[in-house]
Amino acid sequence: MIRTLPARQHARIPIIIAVILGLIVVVGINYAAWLSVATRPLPKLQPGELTWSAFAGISGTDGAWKIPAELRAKHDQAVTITGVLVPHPALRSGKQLLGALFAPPAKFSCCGLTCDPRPAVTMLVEFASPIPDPGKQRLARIHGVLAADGSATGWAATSLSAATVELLRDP
Amino acid sequence: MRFLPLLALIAAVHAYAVFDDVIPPEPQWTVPPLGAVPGDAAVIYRIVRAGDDRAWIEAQSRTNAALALRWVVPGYCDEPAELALAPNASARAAIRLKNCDHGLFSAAVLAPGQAQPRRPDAQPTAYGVTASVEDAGFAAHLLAYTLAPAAAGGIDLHLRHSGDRPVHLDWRVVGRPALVTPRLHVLPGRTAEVVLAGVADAGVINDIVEVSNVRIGPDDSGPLRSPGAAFGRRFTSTQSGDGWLAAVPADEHQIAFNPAAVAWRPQVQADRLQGIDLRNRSNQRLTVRWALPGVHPGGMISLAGEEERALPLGDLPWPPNRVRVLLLTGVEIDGQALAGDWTSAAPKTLEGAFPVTPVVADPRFNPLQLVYQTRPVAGAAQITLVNLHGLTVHADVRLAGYQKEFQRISLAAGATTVLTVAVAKADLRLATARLEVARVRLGADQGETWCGAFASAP
Repeated sequence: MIRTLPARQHARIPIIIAVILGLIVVVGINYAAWLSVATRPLPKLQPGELTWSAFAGISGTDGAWKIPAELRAKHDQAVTITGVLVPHPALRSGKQLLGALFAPPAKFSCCGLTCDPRPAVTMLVEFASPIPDPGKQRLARIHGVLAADGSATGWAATSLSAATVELLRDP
Repeated sequence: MRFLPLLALIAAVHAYAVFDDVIPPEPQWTVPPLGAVPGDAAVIYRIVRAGDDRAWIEAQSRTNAALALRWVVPGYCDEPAELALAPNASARAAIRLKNCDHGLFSAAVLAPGQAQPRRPDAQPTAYGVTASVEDAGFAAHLLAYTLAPAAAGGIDLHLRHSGDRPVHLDWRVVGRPALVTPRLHVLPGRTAEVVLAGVADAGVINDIVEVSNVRIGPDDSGPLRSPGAAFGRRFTSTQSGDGWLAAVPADEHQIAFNPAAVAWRPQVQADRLQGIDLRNRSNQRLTVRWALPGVHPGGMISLAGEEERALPLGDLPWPPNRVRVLLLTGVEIDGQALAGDWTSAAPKTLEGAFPVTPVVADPRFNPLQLVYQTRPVAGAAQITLVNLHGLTVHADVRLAGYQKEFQRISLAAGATTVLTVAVAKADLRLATARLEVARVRLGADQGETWCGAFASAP
């Protein structure tokens, strides 16, 4: 048996199809974007690169930081480490950065790359020469001389001097 | 991903929108799940907080049959509450709580032994604060907060103030008596942040924040609102269906007047509006300006504490369903005029600022409301300080590791100042130097000081 829809219901069909298609597009966009965020790994570490796990053991406070032996052994040595470069207004000169804060990545989400901001795991980086200001937090690999003898004061327990920076693609 | 920016924009807006959807600390009338009511009776219920460990289950029958109910509230009370409901009547039963958070207001009541429905996972949510005692002079609904576990342990409170004048208040987290909380002084339009030491669990995001000892105005003086005491009087009616309606604030940011203090209802004869009844739910004398938009321009009226008054408006050509909103503005409370507009400057934002570091941590001072940024400038250190407190801050300050001497500063509420101090070595490390504070006072620079003192202080 064939039933014929009333004219008013016929008129609604294109609207219903458009709404369904619109929903499919919105859900698809969100899923694809979520997939791209959720599945991209952080870059692989280079051989000999310092890891943030060593910093997790730092405790204490200004001028009397307790630095794990593994990290203290690297004091005054050249190291390479990958993390989040955080441009700070006080370290900006025009469109260049004289230095920056550097911290372990926390997560990459819809709002960008975020880092763990605790002073115990934050490094102050002084560049060998100014770099162009990236304008936002960026994933970076930094090579510099580590100061990790526990004597630092302020909002960073360790520092890197004479540093060079390789900006990496966000994860 | 070409669509990522679009998603990021949508999601970022969503992240910041947490305060755009504030859940008030009000109980809702709810239909109990099937099985919680014998037969097919129409009953509604709500749970009203009556302290830290007590609540009322209130129920209304909409049937012509008498009902005997036994209810438990899974997660909050396992001891059955017994309610005897006469036909078309209301009743309430006290319950002792083992837990008290915002989930209480939407908790399901069940017949003993009835299977518990699955509750959705808790999401970060902005809630309205609860006043310890409802007060006609304090619109608590203009304060909203989020609670979250802090990164390094502890509890992180964000308190948004949507009112039009500075507010000064004590606060506590219900069910966490060990937390020591500083008195807050919050400027209008700002969100104050406090990080407290303590052990936080994931459940903290639904905890109830109760405020008390509130003062409103540029300094922490004047009438005390919602004095700290046991959980007290509610303006929220415990009755329903009696026709009393909540008024709507004409000035939605007026924090010094609580619109819930006045209820109203239309007087109807022969399906025509004849006037309105006004009821002062507070025990303070209130003078208010009222209006029925589109119906009557209204006027000014003074109501004694608890007074109920009929206002005849003549035979208006409007059916009662046309009259839905009564706009109300507070003018006087107990004969004291409410303050006018707040004209002080709002604090400037300071990108990348750090909070000051007290020499001795003091639970009475919240360092997150005095922030600074330091930069090297021509052999000196330039320190920009912003006072986010709603009170003048007086303090001795010193740049740790760079200065031996300290200097005393006084910074008005919301004000910014720039200090230039000579340092032996103006290097990049200045950017992360701590600014220590001691001998802190809020308001007037006299009396007791907080946060210790520098060793060389007189």
